[in-house]
Amino acid sequence: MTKTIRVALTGNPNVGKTTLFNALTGSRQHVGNWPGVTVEKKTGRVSHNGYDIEIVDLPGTYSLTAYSVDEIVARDFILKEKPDVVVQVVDATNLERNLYLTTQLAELGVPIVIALNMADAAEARGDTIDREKLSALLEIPVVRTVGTRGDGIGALLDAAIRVVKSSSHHERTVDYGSEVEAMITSLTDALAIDRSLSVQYPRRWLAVKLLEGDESVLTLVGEGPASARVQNLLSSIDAGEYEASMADKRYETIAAILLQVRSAGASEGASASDMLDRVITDRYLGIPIFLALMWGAFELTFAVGAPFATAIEVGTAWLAEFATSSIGPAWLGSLIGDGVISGVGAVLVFLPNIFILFLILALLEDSGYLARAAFIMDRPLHALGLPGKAFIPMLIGFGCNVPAIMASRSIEGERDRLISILVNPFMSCSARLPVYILFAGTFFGTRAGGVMFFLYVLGIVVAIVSAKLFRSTILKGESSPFIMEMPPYRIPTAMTSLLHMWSRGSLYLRKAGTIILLGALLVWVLASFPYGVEYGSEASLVGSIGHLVEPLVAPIGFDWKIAVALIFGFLAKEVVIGSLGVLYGTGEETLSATILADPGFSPAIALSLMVFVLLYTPCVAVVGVIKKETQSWKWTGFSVVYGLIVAWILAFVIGRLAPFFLGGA
Amino acid sequence: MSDGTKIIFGAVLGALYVGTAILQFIWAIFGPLADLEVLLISGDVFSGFVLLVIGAVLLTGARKFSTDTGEGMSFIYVGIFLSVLFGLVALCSLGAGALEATFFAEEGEEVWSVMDVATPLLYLAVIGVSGFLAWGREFLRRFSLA
Repeated sequence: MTKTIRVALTGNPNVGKTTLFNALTGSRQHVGNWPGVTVEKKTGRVSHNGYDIEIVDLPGTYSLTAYSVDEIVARDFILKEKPDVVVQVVDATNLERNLYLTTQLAELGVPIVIALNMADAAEARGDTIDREKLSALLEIPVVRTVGTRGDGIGALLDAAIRVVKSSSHHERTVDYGSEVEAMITSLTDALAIDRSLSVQYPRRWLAVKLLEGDESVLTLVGEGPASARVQNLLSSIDAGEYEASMADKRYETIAAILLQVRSAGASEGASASDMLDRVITDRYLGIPIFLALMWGAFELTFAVGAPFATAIEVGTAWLAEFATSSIGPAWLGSLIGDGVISGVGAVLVFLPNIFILFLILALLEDSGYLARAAFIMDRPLHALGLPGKAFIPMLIGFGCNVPAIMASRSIEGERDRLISILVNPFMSCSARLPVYILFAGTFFGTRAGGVMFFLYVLGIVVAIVSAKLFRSTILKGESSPFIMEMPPYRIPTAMTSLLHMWSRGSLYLRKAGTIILLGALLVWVLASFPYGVEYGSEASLVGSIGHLVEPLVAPIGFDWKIAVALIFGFLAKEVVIGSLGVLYGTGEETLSATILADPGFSPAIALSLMVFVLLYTPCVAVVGVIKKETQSWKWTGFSVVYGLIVAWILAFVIGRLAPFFLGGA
Repeated sequence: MSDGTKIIFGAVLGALYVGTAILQFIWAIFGPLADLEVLLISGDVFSGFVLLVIGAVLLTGARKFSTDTGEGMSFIYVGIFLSVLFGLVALCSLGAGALEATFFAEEGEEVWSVMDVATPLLYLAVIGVSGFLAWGREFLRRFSLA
């Protein structure tokens, strides 16, 4: 009979847990080289030697004293769900920091296996690690793994099964010195009267956490019968001094172990990573280099995607015309030609640009650059009262705001996290890209890449200014410091980057077949009724809706068709283009040619529209995730209304100023 | 090659990048500059900004060599890398434009010309490539030390 065991994958952020999880389970979870990629646990299964093994990938954590939401997820799973075995993924190139978590897991007395990951990188720089001796000193099995190649996967599963079968698990402790140990003993004795707590957690571990000032353990104890005695003991000591002393003792223990098991390779001068970091994280040149790379990304996205997009556009226009004129009855031809093909086709046109942008972002991420981008933005963000860590969700927002808002869980401090969530919708996600490409390409020619760059930078600036505004008004407070390990620079592999591109780009394709199709059909129905009315005319239902909203956007220069497109853009921002495709019923002409011929459009109005689409109410999926993450309708509503107001004001101002820069456009 | 060669290379190429960037900004503010079209200068402030950044990295490298060789070398290597990278971006844009003009140009549309879309990022990158050929292997070897 097959036995089932549950394995938790834990470890510091950015040590390759998700890569190893994918190698173990055959999954294709997104892997990133910055903290915050895994913000909630993910599960997968694998069969091995007669065992059905459930593997749970936990968010990265530096210690079992949890501060951020994702760290709490990791700790609670280990403490409350009690997996059969905990596999700690350890970065072999950075053992000192990684083994700090090992000392904490060992104190908890959970069955542990260490996956010595990235062993190839450590060996490449000349490090040798005596795994058997490390295993003997820690009393924990240590298995060499290389997650990217799948090396050591079988041995790791074997070790996990052996540990589960073995019943001799015990707490392994660090000697904290006589004074601290005496206090630990006193606290352990005091906790003995709280029987329910003693059954759930090792008392020594609870005592250690109390001395480290762990808020959640303090709350746990505070509810029980040992509370008064524990408080009495804690009030007699200098908590900060004890905590620092305990951390020192842990690192001393780790250093003593490493002295016996590791020999570091000889250095041959500065590595390419060090050389690149000197320049890329330079105080003065770091941000200009980041902006230059962004410009390069958008220039490539627009220019290289253009011929492919044009090919799809020409094909779609021909197909729509063919369907409308050939399929009978007329209403069916119109539904398929004007509705489905023009609506969905108007969005599919931008597929090449979307894939190119995702490929560039994957290359920047896989090379290790995006982690640096977060680092260099720390200084200006901190000056504005924000944690630099908030820039990581902002960067993820370039792809999609939904995972970006979820990534805000890695931010410590509830107010910092809330600010990060509220400003994230201003980061220009890929759904806005079709709008920019259509209007920038139509009205700004060879400068389209520059216009797109301007819009992305505008999004960042509005997000940062809004964050400063929230920090100094409704969400006052100090921002927490930003500590992040820099992954070494790597030359990205084509396969990994292409897989990243595909996993993100395919979501766009799926959206085209679902919500964008739905939006296009909805607009077509509203444009065709009441029965007998001219398709898409002002007398149709869509015309009535447009005219109802038009007064609100007319001061910006938008007509009723744009008003309708913006309303349906709430479903998904791509639907703005899909709606225009349906409303303009492009026929033989391409959508860009039809828009260019419309006197209601000008370069200034096009720029205002792009700014409005960038900043106004996020799409329905983002609104949903804001509600989920803030657990508040108040903040969700605030996000929607604030976005609308900011979008209206900036679209109005930029529309008025644009003629001065565009030569009277 | 000696450090002196690297310093001169960084200083000269950096000055060329900064010089062309300044000309682009002057063009953008005061209008077209006569006889400079041959240098592919345009009024595009965004590519002007990129030229300025690459130039600043290279000039910083040349300046830092006197106080810290490692630091100076890092800036010059990265400057050369950026020069080649943005040269490739400009080349890809040019190629894509040519592709579109060849297959999808419509009647009455303005005739596509290399001179309209080429930028100084292209020819300055040729100098960057020569630096890359000279010192690039040494830089790439250091990736194994990461």
